[in-house]
Amino acid sequence: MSSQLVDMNADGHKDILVGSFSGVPQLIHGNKDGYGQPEAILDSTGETVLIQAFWNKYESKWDDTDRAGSEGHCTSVAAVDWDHDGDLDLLLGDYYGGRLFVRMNEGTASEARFAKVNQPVMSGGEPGVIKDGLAAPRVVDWDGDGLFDILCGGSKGGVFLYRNKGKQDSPEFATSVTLVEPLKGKPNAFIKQVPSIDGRPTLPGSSYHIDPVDYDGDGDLDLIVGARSQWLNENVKVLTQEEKEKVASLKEQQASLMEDYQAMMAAAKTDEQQQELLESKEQAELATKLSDIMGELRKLQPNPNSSGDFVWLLRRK
Amino acid sequence: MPVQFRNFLWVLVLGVGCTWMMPAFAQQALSEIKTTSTDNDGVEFNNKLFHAPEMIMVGELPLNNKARQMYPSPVMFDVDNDSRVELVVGDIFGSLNVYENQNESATGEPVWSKHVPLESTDGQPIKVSNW
Repeated sequence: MSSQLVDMNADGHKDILVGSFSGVPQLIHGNKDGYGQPEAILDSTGETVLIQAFWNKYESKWDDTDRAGSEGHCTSVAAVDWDHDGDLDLLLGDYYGGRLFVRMNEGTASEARFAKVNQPVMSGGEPGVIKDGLAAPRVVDWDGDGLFDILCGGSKGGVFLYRNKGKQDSPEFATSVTLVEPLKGKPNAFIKQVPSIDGRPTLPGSSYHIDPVDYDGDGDLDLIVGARSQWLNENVKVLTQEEKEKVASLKEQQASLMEDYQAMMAAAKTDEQQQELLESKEQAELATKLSDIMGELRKLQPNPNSSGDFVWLLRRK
Repeated sequence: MPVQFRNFLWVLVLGVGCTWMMPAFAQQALSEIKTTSTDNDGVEFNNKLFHAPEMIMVGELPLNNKARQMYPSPVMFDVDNDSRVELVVGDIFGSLNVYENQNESATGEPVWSKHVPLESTDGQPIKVSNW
């Protein structure tokens, strides 16, 4: 994640800093009465702070920039005084690429002027990358040495630490250390199937959004983790031979319709052609047929898995 | 309709192929739909620093049971300036929910209330597609 309570403009009121699906971090300004509505964070030239791809709400389309060489859809953010100059800079996390960037504040604590470009966060002398993607970074003095460290939750689970071995005004990060291993399981499954008891999962699965906090008041940092889990349902229905044959037939029809859909999409080369196709009668009929087939399949063969989102405590030993 | 949203909708509605044109986010949703393994894939939690994960609850139910937030991002801070820490949970669809700590003693673990949406000063829920 990203929500962080922080006074971004030194006006004495805490604001809420939030990463976003669209790729542009948002700021919810605090005032004496509460909070306003979110606003996109802008750089010193008035452009939105982002990694690369972003949802252009003014033109209702995805746009790219070439500022960072990374996609940046689902960008997380954390505020930190990176160079110890008294103002807050932005640490940006890249979901798919697993990279971290810093956007320096070249203004002041009360009047931020964020740089136009990102700098990669170096770890062990190279740009730091969380393999398999990064759900979100958090800034915390994990080892109690007075310097901020970076903790990252992984897209496929896991928690990783970049320990700051530098100085207050020039952070330097060691190679990342794995605090919690991503769950094993099927290598290409984005979300890992976890054990369950009484219809509830026993482990967080993927997209670890973490917050280091002393949850139980015993003086050390625990982790709270928001995550998505998938688990196997109990008493999954066993199909009769007749039902199995019906399922096989429906799946054949489904595959055939999907081939038609793919061919249709492949023929539409431009955005305009795709838009036309999406609004066409053919497309609507195809979608209806597919939807009906899916409905029949679901009735015959309920998904043996359940999935859901939970908040977990990882209590420090 | 933007291409990425369109693909995501296709995945949600159909739960079938066309990965050739999907962004990674849609592929993740598809992977979730298509992964129908009948075992637990050898998943286990074994860690030197942390005990096994505990699900955080509201009463007898998992904390997110009512709110149903997707990809929840929880943080603890004093969001309403009452000198007590709340649990604030955002999600990808834009909700920001607040759980009050009902444990009024200075010690022990939080006891979370039911959630309420975080509102702006004009009384509207604050919507921000959180990541």
